[in-house]
Amino acid sequence: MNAYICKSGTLGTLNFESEDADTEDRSMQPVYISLNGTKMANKLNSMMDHVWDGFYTGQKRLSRFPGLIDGDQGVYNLTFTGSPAKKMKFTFISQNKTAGMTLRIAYPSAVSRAMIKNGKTIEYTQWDEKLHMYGPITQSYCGENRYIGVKNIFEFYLSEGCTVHIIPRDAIQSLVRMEWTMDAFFANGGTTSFMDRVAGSLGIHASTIKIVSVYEGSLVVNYNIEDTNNDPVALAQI
Amino acid sequence: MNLGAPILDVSVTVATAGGSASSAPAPAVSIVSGGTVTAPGYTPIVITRTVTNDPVMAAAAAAAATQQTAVQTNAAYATVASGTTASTAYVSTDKDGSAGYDVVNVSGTKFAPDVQVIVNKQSGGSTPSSTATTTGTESRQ
Repeated sequence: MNAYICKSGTLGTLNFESEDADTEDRSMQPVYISLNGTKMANKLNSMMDHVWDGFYTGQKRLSRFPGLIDGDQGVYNLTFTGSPAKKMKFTFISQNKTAGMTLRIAYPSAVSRAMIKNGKTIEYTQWDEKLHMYGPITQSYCGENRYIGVKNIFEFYLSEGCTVHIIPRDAIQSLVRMEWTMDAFFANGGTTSFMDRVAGSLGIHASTIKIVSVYEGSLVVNYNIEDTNNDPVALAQI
Repeated sequence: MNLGAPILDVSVTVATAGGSASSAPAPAVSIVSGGTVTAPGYTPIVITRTVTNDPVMAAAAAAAATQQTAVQTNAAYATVASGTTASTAYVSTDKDGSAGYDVVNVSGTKFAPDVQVIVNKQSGGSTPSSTATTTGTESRQ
């Protein structure tokens, strides 16, 4: 028997699955787990179906993916070959209690999403006016997350023994293009002033406004208006 | 709405949490386009003057574009001094590098074929005559 003994002390299993209603009917496999900056790519397929429809096997595959991963605080890309599920659950289990990694998911569209841990929403990291995007993941706590606009990448930190959920949110997505430069925009208060102005004009609370991205051309700001409690009725009233 | 700068475009779409991930997202609805607010059944309102909604700015932009074209054309002609006379020569900008356009060189001499093309009339025409050629030429029928 040939075997390779891996001496890494941070290995673990990353389990993630779709929590959408069509988790058994719609396929988003295979899914590739790749370590950012390397050629490493772990290809995962859905769970084999165990459903029998009379004489034949059922055409159902549970979109659940257990993958071996090294929780050495690296950055991993999850690449779905189908549209990623709207609701997803992630768990990381390892014998090393300090293990963890940053996960990145590239979405095809800028749908509003939220990170849920223990039933509570974890907000994005602080907006970085110098980077013109949300601040980088510091891997300081499980569920730390940010959204990278334009590229539509959702990024979050997952530590050992932690379970997080990604859920979609009802939102009013808006785009505003202004006759302004990036430098002038950030010199005049940047996103904070922008959110205050929008909130003041619409008569809503500034906390309901989430900046998605800011980019040139002349100056384009993408932002979402969301209800804090994700209540569709409250959003409709806005 | 005062956002600190003139608004040029605004578009809105509603994203819902329900539905399948594979379903197409709702299309964005344009509220302001090119500085003009538009809505079905209502007269457009200009909130920011742009070249698309202001004739004066459009005329100024057109004049500026014409002037820019003239500047580029003048820059394309270089003044060549030869002795006491000066002439202008067109300098093509449609090429890369420093080599000028010329006929093909073959072993240091310019390849200048003397080619005569005769079109053969297909029906009812006379038989084409042979073609006298000089050195390095060919005739085609």
